Amino acid sequence: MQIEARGLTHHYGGLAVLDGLSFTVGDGRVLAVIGPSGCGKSTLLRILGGLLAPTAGEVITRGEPPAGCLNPITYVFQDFALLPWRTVAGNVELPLEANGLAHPRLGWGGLAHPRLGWGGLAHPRLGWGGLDIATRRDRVRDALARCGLEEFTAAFPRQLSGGMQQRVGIARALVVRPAILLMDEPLSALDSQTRDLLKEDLLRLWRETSATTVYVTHNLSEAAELADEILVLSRRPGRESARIPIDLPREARRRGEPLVVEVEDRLWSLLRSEATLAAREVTA
Amino acid sequence: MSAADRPVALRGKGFEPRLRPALAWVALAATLVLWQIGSVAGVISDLTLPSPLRIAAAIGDLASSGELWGHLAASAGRIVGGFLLGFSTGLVAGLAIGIFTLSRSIGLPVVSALFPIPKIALLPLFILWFGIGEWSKIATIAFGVFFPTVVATYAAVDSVPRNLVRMGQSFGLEPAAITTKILLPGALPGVLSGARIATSIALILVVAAEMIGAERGIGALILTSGHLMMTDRLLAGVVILSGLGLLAAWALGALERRLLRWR
Repeated sequence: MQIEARGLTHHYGGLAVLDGLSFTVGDGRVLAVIGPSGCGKSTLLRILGGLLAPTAGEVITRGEPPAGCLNPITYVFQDFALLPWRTVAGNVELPLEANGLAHPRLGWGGLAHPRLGWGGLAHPRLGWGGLDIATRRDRVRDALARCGLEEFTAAFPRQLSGGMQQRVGIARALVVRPAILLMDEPLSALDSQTRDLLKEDLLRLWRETSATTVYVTHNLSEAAELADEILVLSRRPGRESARIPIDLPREARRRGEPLVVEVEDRLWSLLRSEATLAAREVTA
Repeated sequence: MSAADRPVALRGKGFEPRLRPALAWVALAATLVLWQIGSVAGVISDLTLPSPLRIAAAIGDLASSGELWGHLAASAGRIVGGFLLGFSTGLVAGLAIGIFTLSRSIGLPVVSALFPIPKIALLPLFILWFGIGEWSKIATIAFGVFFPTVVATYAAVDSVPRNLVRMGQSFGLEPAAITTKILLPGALPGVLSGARIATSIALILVVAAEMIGAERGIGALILTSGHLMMTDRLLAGVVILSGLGLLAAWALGALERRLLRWR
């Protein structure tokens, strides 16, 4: 599936954060969106994910989602957004609960009978259709295995390191086999070594799942190492200030790769003055 | 080490209070023993402040004569009835205020206006409405429990990070599922600490209500004992009340440990 943004503009009250942004991300491609802080990167992602209505413009997806896709667009959050009262497996299972099957113990919305399951309580919109329990467990197991979480199924989020918590966040986004993956600074809350490890995981996951991805970051090396194309935004209100394609197969991506270093340097020369100005800005 | 070498003095001491349960028991036992000695020695007048052993004997007499159970059952029934009524309605109202703009706009000013009223002041009105029997007392307790429950519940719903709600929405969960799977479990810690406040209010109100118009109940026992100068029975009632409060706190603590294991 492709995702296209058409003339996206957004204002918070009188504050313009996005100004007429248009782009298309091709099927299976990874677009990194980079820009100085406060340039509307996260706002852009929330609009793309349907969590926020833009002041003007629209978002369009094109093409059919792949077979087995239960939710075309999913999200990975900077702060992981895990439910602390659910185990790793419970968190990864959550998106499947929106798809017509009740939680084995709690029923949909916790209303079904504990032993009779959701006897008589079908999903309000989807009725009885949906995944059976076996398929659902397979999905969860598969997503956990892909993210290297098999040993942590029963752990609670607070027991895990930040890197492991974000792996849970990624597994949760992948469990519905999304066509489009929106990632909001997914590695920003992690230390640099964990970040390097997760970058390798992400490159492998993209090879395996071929989900179209919009990856918002303020980290230049993340953008240069991970993306097929980089969209550079200006300081607020965010406008397109450059677009840099990176022709390098995913297998060849690593730290210190000459092309990656070159792109990083170019990005910094583009962003330096903007970042300096953005850092001096005072928000009313 | 040369003459000018000095070790760095440790400055990071203190300000780390810890709990030593044994110390608490020792202090309690010492107080009781001193009190008893004071009573036996005649330093403490038996009429104004009976000795611990006399209070214990009074509790024993009340229990063996069966009088205690009648008072206890009356008070417990009022507490449980009033608490259940006030807590369940408070929970629903608090959730509504926590979720919907309409109910927040209307409910919050009403709750804020009525919250500061000392609820016992309404007992005479409730007696006029519901009669002198059980319902006026249950209504007073329910009213007293309702408000802290509403406030704790809506504040707890507010405290659930919006990001978790957006997360649920981004994965396509229905509003009902977001309420039961994200808002309710997330609000549970706050709701339970609201329940602690509500139980102590229920205990205060049951005693006050029973002192105003009841023949049975721990509050009535304490009041009539006072009128008859039976200070040992009076204090027996007080000890039983503190036992009730401790029991409620223990039960809520057990519930918290069970439901909030994830913390």
